[in-house]
Amino acid sequence: MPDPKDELHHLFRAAGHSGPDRDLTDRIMARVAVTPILRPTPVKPILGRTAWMAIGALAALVMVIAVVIGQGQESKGLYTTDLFNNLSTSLPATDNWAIWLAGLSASLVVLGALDRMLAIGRRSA
Amino acid sequence: MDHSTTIQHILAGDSRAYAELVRHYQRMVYTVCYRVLRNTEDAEEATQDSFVKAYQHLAGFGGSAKFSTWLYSIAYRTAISHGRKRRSDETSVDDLPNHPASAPDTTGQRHELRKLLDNALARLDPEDASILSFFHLEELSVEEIVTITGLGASNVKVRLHRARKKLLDVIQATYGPEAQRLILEHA
Repeated sequence: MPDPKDELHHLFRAAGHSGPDRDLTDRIMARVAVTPILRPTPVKPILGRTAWMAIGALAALVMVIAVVIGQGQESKGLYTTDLFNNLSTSLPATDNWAIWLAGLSASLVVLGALDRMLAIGRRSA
Repeated sequence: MDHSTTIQHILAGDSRAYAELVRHYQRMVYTVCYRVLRNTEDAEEATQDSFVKAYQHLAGFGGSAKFSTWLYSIAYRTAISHGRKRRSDETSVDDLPNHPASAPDTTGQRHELRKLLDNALARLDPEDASILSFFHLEELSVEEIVTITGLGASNVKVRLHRARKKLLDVIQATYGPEAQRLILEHA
């Protein structure tokens, strides 16, 4: 903040603001009267919150199944259905849940970005 | 000063409420534009454009900064942009009017002081003249000037220091003891 005892500060304060013409307010308001306010329109995602929650739940279920299958590889015959046993032998690295988690996260990011891009494209169309 | 209620009214459709903000800030906005453009007509045009732009984008004013800081930032950038457009037929310092259009409350001494200050500031870089006005006339902080101008804090401090020194030198060299007398009489 400027020093109130400062000579230059005194000069600025004493001289005051430069004065525009008296009718400047009227001229500005005349232009404002014909100017619309620009309102930012929010981007609405195609998939709503419920759909994303369902996808998340499904993804979590897939993760659980993958981990369970991975554990099952060490003790064959744990599963009662052939489906899981077949899956456990055909899927690569089913015991490495970190790879699955990384893949799942990357898929969700890609899907989210795609959803947003489609929403923006739909809005501007 | 809090203008949130006025802004809410404007956003709700009462565009006439904007006149309150225009009346409150037009002199400082005009001063900023005049410091950059150094021409009354251009300054008035830039002032109008600044207020119209601010009105258009009022819905985007988040309230994280003061309304005045936000508005001065628009005015500063608008004036700089006007200045760039008209750089080709730039007015020389000698062609400058003695002072901008006088305000209704202008007294004789105030008029003389303003004339002295305007002529001295016209010999400074337009951006430096604006920074000095923000600091001394509006008493804005360095942080607020940084927000308005987009310059770095250290840059603003250096510019302030140099511009002050140069302005004092110009006043002393041009007006000598007369300037001292005017300032002291009005202090």
